[in-house]
Amino acid sequence: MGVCSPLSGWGCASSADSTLPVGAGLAPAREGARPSPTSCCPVIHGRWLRREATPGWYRSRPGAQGTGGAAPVVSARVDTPSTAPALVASGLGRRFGRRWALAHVDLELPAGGSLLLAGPNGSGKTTLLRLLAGRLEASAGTLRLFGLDPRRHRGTVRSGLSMVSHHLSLYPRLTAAETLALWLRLGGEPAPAERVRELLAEAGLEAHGDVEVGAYSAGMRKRLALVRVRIERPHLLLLDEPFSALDSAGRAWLAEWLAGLRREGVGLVLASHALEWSAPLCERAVRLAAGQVTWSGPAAALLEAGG
Amino acid sequence: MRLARQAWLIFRKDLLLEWRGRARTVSVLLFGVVTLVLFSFALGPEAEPLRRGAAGFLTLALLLSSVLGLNESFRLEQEDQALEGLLLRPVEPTALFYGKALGSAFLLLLLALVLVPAAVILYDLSPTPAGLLQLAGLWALAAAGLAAPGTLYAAITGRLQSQDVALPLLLFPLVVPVLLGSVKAMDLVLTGDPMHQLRSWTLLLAGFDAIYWSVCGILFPFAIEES
Repeated sequence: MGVCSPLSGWGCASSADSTLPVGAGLAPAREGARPSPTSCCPVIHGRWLRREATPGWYRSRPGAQGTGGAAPVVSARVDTPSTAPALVASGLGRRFGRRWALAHVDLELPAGGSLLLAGPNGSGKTTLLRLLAGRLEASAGTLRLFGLDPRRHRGTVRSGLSMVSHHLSLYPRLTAAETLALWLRLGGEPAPAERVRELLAEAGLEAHGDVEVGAYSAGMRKRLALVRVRIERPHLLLLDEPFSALDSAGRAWLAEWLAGLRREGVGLVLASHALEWSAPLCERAVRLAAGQVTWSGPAAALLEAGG
Repeated sequence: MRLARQAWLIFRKDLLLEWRGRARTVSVLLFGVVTLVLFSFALGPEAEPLRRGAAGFLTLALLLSSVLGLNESFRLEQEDQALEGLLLRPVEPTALFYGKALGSAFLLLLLALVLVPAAVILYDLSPTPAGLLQLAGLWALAAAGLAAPGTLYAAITGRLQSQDVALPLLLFPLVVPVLLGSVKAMDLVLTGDPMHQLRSWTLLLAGFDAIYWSVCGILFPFAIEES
């Protein structure tokens, strides 16, 4: 069992690599091997490795000792020099009672990067998103968002984040126009009718702006919740199953809309089962199972491997 | 400034939602009236015991109705995890508290418009116009004293399946000073104040209001953050 070495120099070492102790240390990425859902990386927990010659970013744990001798020395991070990574998680874990819903997750996402979280139901994707959003405290590990500790800089970090989860956080008794106006005003912005109409048009809801959200279809509600992100102008957008409840036209709209956000430099962490829609939007992917990262690599490779 | 603006927006949003879902407001009002009627049945047809107990009955009707209103106030926020959306916006938790507490206090104030006339009729009260004004002021203080801790505890119990039971169990012991102050002060207004004690009881009520609104505002962010 070897190393999955994804496209464009990304690598993800498996636990069986002789230079790599289980759950610790690091290994140089190798080229050539295809990512395999069944054989890849059971314990590396989302460590992203890449060849040093290739620009980009990767995870390492400096100074970690391998079983096969001295650990390879790899510098901690390569990133755009002036920009802090959007997200750095190290050994992140969350326990509910005695059960660990998430354990030993190491992740790094550069500013403006994109990451797909894949895995079956109950694998810990939503828990991870809620940890990143600051709605859950980590039981283990450390997390830094935009280079800041979210526990100490809660307000600053939250102002850079948006999250759209299964629950869309909408008030059924408010109309779409009232919802958007409230969202604008809560952020300290004026809510002129033109701006609200503009946002409604972006969601394809301009004809339904005065209808209470409770009367909307699931797809319309989702589009309204998503377009609210525009008001928040986040640096990092967290999405939990964004393609669910949308028909094919809605999915196409969302894919195009998210691609637009990506072009604007908004980072993306996306948990989804709809890989055919979500993988093309993301550069990297990790697969979670039972709360642990079992594979990481390029999102395209995950799609090719069938998830 | 930001905090005050956000609190005002939350308050306005809650009022709008109350107006759109009038059934809830109406049920709280009706519950209050039914409570007053039941007290009058319990004490029989004689007017004097009813008059003597009127201040207590009014305050209890306010307290029992407030539990209904407060429970529902946070149910709105939990329905589609709207609260989470607000916190991620990010809305200051303190602003959220003051907005929602103001909304609850306003609803309890509205109760006075129905319950005080109902009590005047049912308990054969004859307050002077000045007495009615004093009653309104005391009612406002009592409503404020219930709304602040009620909002805090409604946020804490909002995620529990047993919210309907847990809220009164937690709230009632805490608001005993408000109950005592309100009953005594209203009684002095309705039955006379020969010893000039009304001012002291009113100050006691206002003092507890100030404590509740400041302490609950400080504690609220801890109550809604998940751990």
